[in-house]
Amino acid sequence: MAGAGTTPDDPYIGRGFVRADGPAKVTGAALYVDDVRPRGCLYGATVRSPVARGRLKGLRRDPDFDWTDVVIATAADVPGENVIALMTDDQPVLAHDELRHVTEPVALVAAPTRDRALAAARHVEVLYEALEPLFDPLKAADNPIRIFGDDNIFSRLEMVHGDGLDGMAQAEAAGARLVRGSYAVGLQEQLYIEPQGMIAQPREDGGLTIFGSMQCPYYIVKALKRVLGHDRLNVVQAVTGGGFGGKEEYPSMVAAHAAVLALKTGRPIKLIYRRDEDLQATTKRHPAFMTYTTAVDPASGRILAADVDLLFDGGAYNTLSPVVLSRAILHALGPYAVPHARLNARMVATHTPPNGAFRGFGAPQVMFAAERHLDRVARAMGFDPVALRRTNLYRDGDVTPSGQRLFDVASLEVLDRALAAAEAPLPPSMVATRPGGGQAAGRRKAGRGLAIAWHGCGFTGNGEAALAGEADVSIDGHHVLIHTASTDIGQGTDSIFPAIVADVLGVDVQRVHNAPHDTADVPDSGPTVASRTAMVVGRVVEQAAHSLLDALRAEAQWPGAEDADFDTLLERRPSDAPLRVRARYEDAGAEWDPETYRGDAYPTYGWSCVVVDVEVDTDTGEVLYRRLVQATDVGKALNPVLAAGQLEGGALQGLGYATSEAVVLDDRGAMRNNRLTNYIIPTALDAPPMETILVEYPFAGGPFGAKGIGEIPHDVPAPAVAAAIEDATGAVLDRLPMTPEAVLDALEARETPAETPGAAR
Amino acid sequence: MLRIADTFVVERPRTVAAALALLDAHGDKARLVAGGTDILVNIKHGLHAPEVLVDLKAIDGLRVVDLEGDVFELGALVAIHDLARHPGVQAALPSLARAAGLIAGPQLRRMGTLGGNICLDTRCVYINQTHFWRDALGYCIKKDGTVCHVTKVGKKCVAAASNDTAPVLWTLGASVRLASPRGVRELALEDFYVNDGEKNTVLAPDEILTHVRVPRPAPTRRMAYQKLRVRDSIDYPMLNLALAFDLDGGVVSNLDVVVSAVAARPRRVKRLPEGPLSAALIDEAAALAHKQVRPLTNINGDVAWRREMVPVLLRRAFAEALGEEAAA
Ligand SMILES: Cc1cc2nc3c(=O)[nH]c(=O)nc-3n(C[C@H](O)[C@H](O)[C@H](O)COP(=O)(O)OP(=O)(O)OC[C@H]3O[C@@H](n4cnc5c(N)ncnc54)[C@H](O)[C@@H]3O)c2cc1C
Repeated sequence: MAGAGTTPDDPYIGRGFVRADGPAKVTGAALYVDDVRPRGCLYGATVRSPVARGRLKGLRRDPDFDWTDVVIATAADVPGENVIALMTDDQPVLAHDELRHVTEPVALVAAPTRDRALAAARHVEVLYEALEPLFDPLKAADNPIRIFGDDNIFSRLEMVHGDGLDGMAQAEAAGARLVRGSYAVGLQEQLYIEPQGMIAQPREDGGLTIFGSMQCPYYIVKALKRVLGHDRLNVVQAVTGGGFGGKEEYPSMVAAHAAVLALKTGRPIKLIYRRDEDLQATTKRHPAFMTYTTAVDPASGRILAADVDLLFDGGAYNTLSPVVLSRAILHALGPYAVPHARLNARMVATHTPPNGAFRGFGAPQVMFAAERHLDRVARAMGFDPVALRRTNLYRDGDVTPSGQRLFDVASLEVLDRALAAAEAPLPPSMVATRPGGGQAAGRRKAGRGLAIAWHGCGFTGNGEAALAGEADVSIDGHHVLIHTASTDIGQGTDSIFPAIVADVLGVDVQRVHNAPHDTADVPDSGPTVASRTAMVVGRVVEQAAHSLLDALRAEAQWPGAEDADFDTLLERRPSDAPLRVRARYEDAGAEWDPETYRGDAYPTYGWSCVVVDVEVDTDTGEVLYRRLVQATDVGKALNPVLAAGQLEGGALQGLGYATSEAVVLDDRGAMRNNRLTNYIIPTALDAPPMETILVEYPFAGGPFGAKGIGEIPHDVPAPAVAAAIEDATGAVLDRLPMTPEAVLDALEARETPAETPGAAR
Repeated sequence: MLRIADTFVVERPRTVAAALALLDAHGDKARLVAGGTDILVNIKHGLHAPEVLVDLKAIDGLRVVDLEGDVFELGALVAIHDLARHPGVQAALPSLARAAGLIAGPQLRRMGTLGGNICLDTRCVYINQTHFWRDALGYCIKKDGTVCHVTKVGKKCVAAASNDTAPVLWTLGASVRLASPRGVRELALEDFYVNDGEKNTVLAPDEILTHVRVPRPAPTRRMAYQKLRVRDSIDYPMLNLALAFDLDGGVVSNLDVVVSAVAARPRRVKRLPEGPLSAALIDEAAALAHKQVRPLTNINGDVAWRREMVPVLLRRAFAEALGEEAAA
């Protein structure tokens, strides 16, 4: 490694350099929020609503409990506005009037130990008058039970592309076949391994420092300014044990609670969620109900028109749901060119815990429907599923439903490369290599399924231009510091940024570090979400590094400075005055109209093809994974090891979404299986052998050509698995998750004639 | 994250006698720990609050695997991993090796022991929960309460025996050797377990399980073990089934099937057929098992599905015992 990256011929970028956070995490030196205990710290706990809906009547402290060292805070203790500022101001910090979902925070307690705090919270009874809740998203719109606005619709989007429904009518008149299908997906939990946790510490100036597990420090700044009524606060990210979107917006709630208690007690407050609490109270992936009608040319298989209806369940509060819906509608047709389409999408409110950001952000839901629908078309009209995809895939110059013209489209290449890789012989069945010698004698059927994704990288529409994210680079003696609010949540940001800067400056990466993600120091580079960090912020960081070189050259008074390298410039600096430069996101002139949803929806798109081989145990309904091949366009693999890690981890999370991750709600809407033993995510041992091909169609706007890759791997493993089950057994599954029970049911349904081609309309 | 209470001390005796003396001295304030993979979790969940943990791992002589005589002897401290990988066990008691290999995950198999597995506490969705959770729902018969959330009406705890070695050892005719201040006693495994989820063994508080004894199987003995679980990587059984029979000249006799992860005690299927090996015989056994075994909502997994899986596991066990691979 020594010397690597110090010459242009030997850069870090493009190689599997070592993660900056690895040693501290492996040795246990890394400090997560629960590892830190400020002097005088009290512990917080949350009192939550026991009902889905009710009128809050007050709180009752158990008179038999010893309250001497316990402090209780309610909505009345919120110093500023009782609101978690996000899209709309509908969600309170603490409920004060109507209870809108089970586990909604109602009060807070602080006590000298965690056990005391938890015990105290249990002895605060929430008094309420029960009201009738609304759970069914299909009945939510315009229901007389009101949750949001006057129609229970958080947001509604409509897109018309080409001639819209007229295009459908024309196609039908010209002999196209209409194929209609409905698809549904359930909740999914992010299941970061470190639960939510935050410390709020009073500062000497009367302000607060917030320290904890998070993706987006500036979201918390924005939310807490309103909660506190002033801006004397700074937010510092602790080492964070995973997020997957679950630590995008929810940490603002935890931070607000810790802050309220810290102000009331004047002491540092540590508030760490229990696992069972975290699973019941925090956001999940939105359930969705999706209906697709397409007009397909019976001779060529070309999709001529589409009519899509999406219904997403947002839960009790709006959170980021409108943005999720926006990504959903923009991805709803999958990576296929359709000349005429009408798309309708609604995000409705129900009395369930709010749903929110999760890797993919609306795309995995619609991509499941889009891909399953294509398989339905193939089945109904007698096309080969792969050939049908090949016919309809986007190609260079095609236009998306928002009117964006596509270039450098990697769709066919990812398809061909995945198919070629899938030709290799399958590794031995995991059944045979299972511990204990292998399950004997199942009636197992083998099958293969394929699905293709496209994923818009970065924010939707004019999001980046509106944000105009910033990053600083500074000199610290012999070292270089990068200052951003872009957090490392396990995906490798703290390793990627230094490598980018090291290559620009031509220095050893050991000399480049990320400054602590403390909003007192770092500018707002935007949230760590939307597959934007390496691609968008990475580019700003790259520019900041160039600006640093420029600044050094500008202050150098000696001849030849304009060609001198970084170290020479550093050595010959006229003074050792601090030097810090800032770069800002530069808009490439994208055009986007948020009113009409026309224009460049995303700066660029990633492309991915997944091929899954399964064995379906037709006695038990279990799906056994044999292999997952993916070919994914990453623009440029900044670090191929980290890139493959993202793609494989994302794919495994997608397999969990496919077959095992079922969230079961009780009759109050509370997650019943809120434990690691019964919310079943795949472990490393459950991962099938994976073959991961990095395809590189560079994006001129990303650093070294990189595109965002954080989310795309989660998009289509699930429909590929469904297709593989169908290939193996003929059973058709159009709902997630495909648990053994569901597979057995579908195997039985296969015997009934409902799925004959004639009935596909 | 759940923390372990730091209210106990750990004693590490070097002999069984010393361990017994510690149990005697501390009475019901003491608990035994071997690999700790069960009891530490239960302490975290507030199911026990011992003041002394008597750790058995420093005791010599309890890791023996003796397959020489007419009765095999397996020490209580043999690690689950070693049991699964032992060539002699794999050859002579293949169903036991297989069951061991299907327990938990790799780390847990290295820590967990045979004795700990046999003495594993029963499991239930209403008991293997944090104290906070159980407090919120209301306690149950097994700990601190008076009701059963599974049966609603019953007065008896129905938490499920969930150990993988128990049903196999049962079909192998195993017995356990128990040491106490009163001396050593040996009990057939069948008599060791009782049908009470609160405590499903007759192990006295001052007793230590030292060895498992398994009669050498006759050359005609066939055996198999099948397990249903969500993830092959780690999960407890949602259902398990051990089977053994003699096959001599194509005739099946002494057919024995024990099913577990259903009730507090493993359940032996009754009135099983004998006679020439045939599809009809297997069908009959499968039908009997289906009829006699009724899973409850005490553990994870859809009850109807688990019940339908009883005959499936039985057929698979037959195929496994006969060395057949499934025809696709
Ligand atoms: C995630 C997870 C998954 C698991 N999956 C499975 C599974 O699939 N199948 C399965 O069978 N088990 C499973 N287990 C349980 C456990 O790991 C095994 O059963 C293991 O064999 C228990 O042995 P141990 O030595 O760790 O027991 P310990 O925890 O040390 O002891 C268990 C109990 O037995 C008592 N005890 C231990 N040794 C003796 C002795 N010699 N004499 C008397 N009493 C004794 C203890 O006092 C305690 O009450 C799982 C556990 C976890 C955490």
